[in-house]
Amino acid sequence: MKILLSNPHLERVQIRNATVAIGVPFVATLYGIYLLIEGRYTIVDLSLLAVMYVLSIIGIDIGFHRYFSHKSFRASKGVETMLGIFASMAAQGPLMYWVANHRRHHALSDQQGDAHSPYFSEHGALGKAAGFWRSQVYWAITCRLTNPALANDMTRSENIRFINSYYLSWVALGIAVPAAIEFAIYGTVQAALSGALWGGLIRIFLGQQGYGTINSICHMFGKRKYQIRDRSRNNQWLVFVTAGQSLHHNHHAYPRAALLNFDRREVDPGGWVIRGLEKLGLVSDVCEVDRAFLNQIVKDEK
Amino acid sequence: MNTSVKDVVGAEAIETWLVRYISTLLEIDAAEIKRDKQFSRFGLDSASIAAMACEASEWLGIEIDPVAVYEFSTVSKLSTRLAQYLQPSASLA
Repeated sequence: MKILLSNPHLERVQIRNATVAIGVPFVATLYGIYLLIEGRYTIVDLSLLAVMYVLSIIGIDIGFHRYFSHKSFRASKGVETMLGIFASMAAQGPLMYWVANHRRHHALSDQQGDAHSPYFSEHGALGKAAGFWRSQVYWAITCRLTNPALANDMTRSENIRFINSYYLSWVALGIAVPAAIEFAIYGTVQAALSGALWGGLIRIFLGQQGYGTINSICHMFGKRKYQIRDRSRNNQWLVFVTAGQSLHHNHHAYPRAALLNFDRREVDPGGWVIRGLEKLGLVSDVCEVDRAFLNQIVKDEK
Repeated sequence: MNTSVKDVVGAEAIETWLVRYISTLLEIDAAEIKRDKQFSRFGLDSASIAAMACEASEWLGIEIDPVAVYEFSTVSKLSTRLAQYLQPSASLA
């Protein structure tokens, strides 16, 4: 199966869509910084930002990443739907697009053709600054097209097709819900707009850039423990921003593992969510890391 | 006259290609793929259809806009449409 596709028409669509998806939240965030400096915000604004951030980043990491892309556990239909909707609210693209891009990343990690490696664009090796910029932001606009067939297994589920095809509605819902909450509290249009700004657009910007550190920082800086071919790194300090995915070197060492804290000192907040759902009986068959395999690939520490 | 004969052959070859593509993609038997059944009834979404059209256009060496072929939503309609794209270059040759 081809991993990359070439088509100038679709490439133009990608450039347009990604520019809007990244650009609008960026401009909204600049306005948010101005409001912060002016002191024109409320505790409700910031609370909505925090709650919506947590929900959408759980959706992206536990949903799009660990569940849909890697099938690292089984979930009830309700959990599957919620994870898919929360993730779609993050405005990082529809489910099947995300899954296909991520599988491409594993197939070609840090080689030419990886959609978001800091080391290579499709035209060759990158310097550090250009690599950071590409892996953090620019790849989504300019990378070559990923063949959606990499997510062909997803098309077999009616529920997944449903989540995927209503992508824009979920993005809109993620902006409308905080707006509605502020309207319910304060009863003004001004407050509703404020909710849409903080809980919607600014939260989307922070989620895109927060999770973007997986592609940039977590392939450039941080610790390595295992002998694997890609250049992934662990960054414990980013786990609460990325729902645990910043233990990204661990993820690349054993991509199917549902929980990323391979040793006792590591913290994986996303793993707590999966274990919690498992205790409630909503999640099962949680894939454990193969310790024997890890011992084979671990580097000598000294 | 020669051109039209060539086109009929072209459409058939494209039809075979599309059937093989869908059966590989969805891991279903080629015999199950009815030529007049809507792509969406196989579970293909718009991105998958665009990708299929995109690969077909690479194979045929023609440039098409996958979004422009959405309305050709069955194997037989799409293969006929793609064969028409081949026509101008064939007559130019």
